[in-house]
Amino acid sequence: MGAKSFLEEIQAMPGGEGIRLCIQCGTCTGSCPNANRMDHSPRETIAMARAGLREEVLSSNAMWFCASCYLCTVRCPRGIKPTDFMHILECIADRAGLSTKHTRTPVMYRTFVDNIRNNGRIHEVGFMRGFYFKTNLFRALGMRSLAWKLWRKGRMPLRAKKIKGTGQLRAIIDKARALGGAL
Amino acid sequence: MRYYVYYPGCSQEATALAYGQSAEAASKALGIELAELEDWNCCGSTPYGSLKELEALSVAARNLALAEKTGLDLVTPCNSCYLALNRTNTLTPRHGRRSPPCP
Repeated sequence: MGAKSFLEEIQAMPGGEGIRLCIQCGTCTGSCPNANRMDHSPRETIAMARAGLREEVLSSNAMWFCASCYLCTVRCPRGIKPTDFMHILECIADRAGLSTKHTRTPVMYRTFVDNIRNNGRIHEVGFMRGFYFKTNLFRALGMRSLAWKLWRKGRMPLRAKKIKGTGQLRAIIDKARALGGAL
Repeated sequence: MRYYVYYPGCSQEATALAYGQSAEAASKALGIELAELEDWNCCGSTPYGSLKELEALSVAARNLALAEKTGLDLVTPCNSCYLALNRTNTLTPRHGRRSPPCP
């Protein structure tokens, strides 16, 4: 990464260049359905990023709680895309091998990525099975009543359907990884 | 009769089954013919793109490439898939660069 500052690192990714326009009005935080669960609110996270507090921002749970509802993006008076900014922070954190102990979201996302590489599409049952195995298997038991209802309605296919072009897709994924994973 | 190539999205075969069925039924009633995109893959939406940016754009691009071959416009009922595919479509001309083909 060289001597790139944290801000430069963020601005290099699509959607990140806007944060320099932030006036700290807090509309994003006010719109955010998960702001109360975050270590630092969206507004605060933008301020911290601009102040170069790389470690504090990347070890915070804030971006992992982004639900991608896009309300912040719709309402930001400066045309910033805080959702994209949150996704950028997740990417940077993942590349740096950082996770936060406060949330299971990174594990969930990583399981998702592995599932795609295997099947080409998400196999929901396999995905959740992998996730529960890595986190807490007993929580899966708590979902059994919902699972039964979904199963009865044919909404829980147990067998994974692989696409024909899995080889092709894996070549694409591996090439993207070889290129460093970033644009 | 309007023809579109149709991207269902992964959830439509599972938890969003009803959503897919109603989208297809509504399209039929509106005189829209939907042809499912052959061998579509994951769109690379939030859980993917939040973690691995270039990978997510690349897997989405495969869908766009497959759709391009049909010559039809691509539609999807899933808002996340739409966002992922549309975003990839916008970013690829801007950031795409020539590199040696995959082995």
